[in-house]
Amino acid sequence: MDNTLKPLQTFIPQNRVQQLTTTASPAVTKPLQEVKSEPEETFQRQIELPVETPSDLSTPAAVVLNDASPAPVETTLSWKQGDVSFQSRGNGPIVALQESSAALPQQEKPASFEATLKALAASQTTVADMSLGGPVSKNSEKAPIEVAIETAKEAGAAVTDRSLGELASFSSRETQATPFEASLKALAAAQMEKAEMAKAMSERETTYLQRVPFKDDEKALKTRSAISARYHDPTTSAESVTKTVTKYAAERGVDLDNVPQGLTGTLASNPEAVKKATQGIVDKFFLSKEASFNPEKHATVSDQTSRFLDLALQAAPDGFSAADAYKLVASNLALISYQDKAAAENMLGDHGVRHLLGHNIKATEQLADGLEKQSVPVGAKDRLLMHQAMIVHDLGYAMDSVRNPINEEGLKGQDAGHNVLAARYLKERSLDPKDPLTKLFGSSDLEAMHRCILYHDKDVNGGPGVELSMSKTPTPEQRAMNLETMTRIADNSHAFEDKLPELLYREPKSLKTLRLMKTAGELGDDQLLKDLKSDLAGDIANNPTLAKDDKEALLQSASSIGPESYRFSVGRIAGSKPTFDVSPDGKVIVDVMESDTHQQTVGLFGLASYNQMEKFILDCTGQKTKLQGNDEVIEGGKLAVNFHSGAHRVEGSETFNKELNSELLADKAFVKFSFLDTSLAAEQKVLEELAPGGDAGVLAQLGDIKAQRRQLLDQYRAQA
Amino acid sequence: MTQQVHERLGEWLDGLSMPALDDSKRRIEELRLDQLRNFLLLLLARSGEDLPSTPTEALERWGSRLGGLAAYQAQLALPLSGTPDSIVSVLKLGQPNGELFQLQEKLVDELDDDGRRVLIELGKLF
Repeated sequence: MDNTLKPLQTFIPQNRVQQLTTTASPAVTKPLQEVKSEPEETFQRQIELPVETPSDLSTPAAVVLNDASPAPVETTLSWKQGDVSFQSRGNGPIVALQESSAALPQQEKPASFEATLKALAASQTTVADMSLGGPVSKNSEKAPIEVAIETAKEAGAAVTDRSLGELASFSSRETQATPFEASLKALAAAQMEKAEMAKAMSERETTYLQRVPFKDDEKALKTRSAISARYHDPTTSAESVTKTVTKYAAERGVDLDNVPQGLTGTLASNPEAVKKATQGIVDKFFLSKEASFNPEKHATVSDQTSRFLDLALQAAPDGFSAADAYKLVASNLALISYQDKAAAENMLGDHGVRHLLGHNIKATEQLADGLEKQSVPVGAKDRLLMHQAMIVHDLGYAMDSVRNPINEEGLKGQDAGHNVLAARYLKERSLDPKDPLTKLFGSSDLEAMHRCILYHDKDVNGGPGVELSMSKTPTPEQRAMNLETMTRIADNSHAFEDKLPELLYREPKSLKTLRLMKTAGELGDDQLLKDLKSDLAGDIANNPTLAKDDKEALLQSASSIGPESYRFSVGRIAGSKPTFDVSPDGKVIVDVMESDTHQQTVGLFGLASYNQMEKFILDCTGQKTKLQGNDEVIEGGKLAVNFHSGAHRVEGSETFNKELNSELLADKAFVKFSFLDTSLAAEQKVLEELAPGGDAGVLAQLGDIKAQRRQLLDQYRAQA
Repeated sequence: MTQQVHERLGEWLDGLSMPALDDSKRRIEELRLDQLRNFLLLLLARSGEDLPSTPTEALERWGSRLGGLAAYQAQLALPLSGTPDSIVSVLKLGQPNGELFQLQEKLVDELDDDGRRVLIELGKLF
């Protein structure tokens, strides 16, 4: 066995490195070395162990390495509290490395490890910023320094629960089996695990940035370069996103920085209090005139928040605090609300509540049920992990580097590579030991979650990646692959009516505007396009039922539509309420039923409304198909899609259906206009394709057709 | 009613052939299919519960005064064959001055609520 432990390497966020470099004694700690690779720009490789002990400090236990002797002990541990850095070597004394300590005056400098801990406890110093510490809790995933303290306690030291500073470095050579050394070894293992997690995450992001969009033509290279720029944009960092979202929440009366009084103890001891407190946040975000007022979304978010906490109760480590549970859920709710508003501002198709929670999370749970039915274990932690991954997976769409260009320039592919932006966000949060996410999930969980986010639509090679392991005792890799697959299937199968952009879903009247704009665009009438948009904006602005955020978002969305907008939207509608199952041999079975809503909108959109489902089938099965709206079964690879039309249809959103009915069925003139115009439009396109130059006869025919279309449009607008 | 119309329409269109997905003529044939499908759907939607069994019967019922009725009926005799373009180019469904365009204008005005629902649910309006 190789008894020589390698120097511990870890990644710590840039801001922490800055802090360490300014407080550690240069006489003891070597300067930090920066290692820059593309996705690791915000990290520095840290930890150079002090190799010489300053003469003015207490001498640590000296260890002489001797190959012939039993494995020697040499352990170095250093951390800091406030502006004081501490170090211990072996079982020797802990020394303060900075003389001018406000927190721990020089004269109180202790002489032994236990004494130091006692002194630290006695000082009652609040540690404002710890990267590896955190309040001592009964959390089984203890910070390393906490492990050491427990060891000290076991040794009889009277140590009270106090924050104990930040571990800055640690290394050990072969240890004797003393409890202290064993703890330090555990400490080292935990550190190594975190370092490996960070490294693996960074490497995956690098690979993704090198490969996406999984083509190599000129256009792809430009896309890749744009994605890289967005990835490195400062606004993409977790710190920046958190700051933005915290401000957003505060403006809606939600304080993410503080925990309400009374949320003490563990989640297990106080689950109802956490549920009650977080429900208040749901109300503020989704049932408020000052934010968004949407009972449908409110119900979805309430249900899933409750489910999240139920899963957390089952999966959290012992001692996971009620306060941390509250903080995590509050942060998730703010992220959901923030993304929901951003999604409503454009015509990309929903990436808000309906997508994240209404479809994706439910789909992963059904797939998990399917696996469990086949005796493949999917625990509460796995379900919770996918739940959390879904909340974050599309965050890239809402980040400034994507959201702002879309809102300013319209849809031009700025959403490409949004996966890696969300992955970076998770990675950076995973390195913050204060983040409740890292107290709930271990390093391997966070790494699996990162994979789910980064590969939520395509696998590492850009393929569909539908591969489930049916092992009853899955290895960590098999588990991670299963989680990835379930995430991808859930995300890719959201091709249904509630994926409609918010503008169309919330304001079905805008469907008619899109229809009129299509004609105006094909007639080349720019002024009419402006007038139609202006009319729609006026309707939204004057709608008294819309809450502040909803109105703002829809106005932004209305300003972005053009004559071609319908194309992007209509392809996203295919059916409704899919169900998922898994066969004994690991084949995923998706049942898709046509909805009432789809039955109504298929008339507007025609068979193009099946495009997304056809794309889904192509992606997952390799089968190129053309759905005709009949019952069909398409099989390929590890996936089978059963498409049920007509008679099997299920009800979609009642509100949407009702409004669509009133907007379309009641508007006889609209039905007449759009029906006749469709035939004229087809004739126009055929003539333009058959005779692009146009002889006199064709041009005359085209003139007649356009005149007729114009007349129908004017007639409709005049009476509407 | 929608389901019956859907099935009847399927029976009528069953004999048509379409170019392969990657054929350059595919786009035009899809446009022609939309026109033809919408037209036949309108004839069915106008008929209410008493659905005609063939397109020629439907045309007889709603377009008996058309000058070119016989020619249109010949094109629409079941089973339909050939491509949609081969039929629609004779029917001139999308030409404003064509008889059948004007017939469509009249029939869509005459639709009741159920007929309009069928058109919205099964037709193509975009």
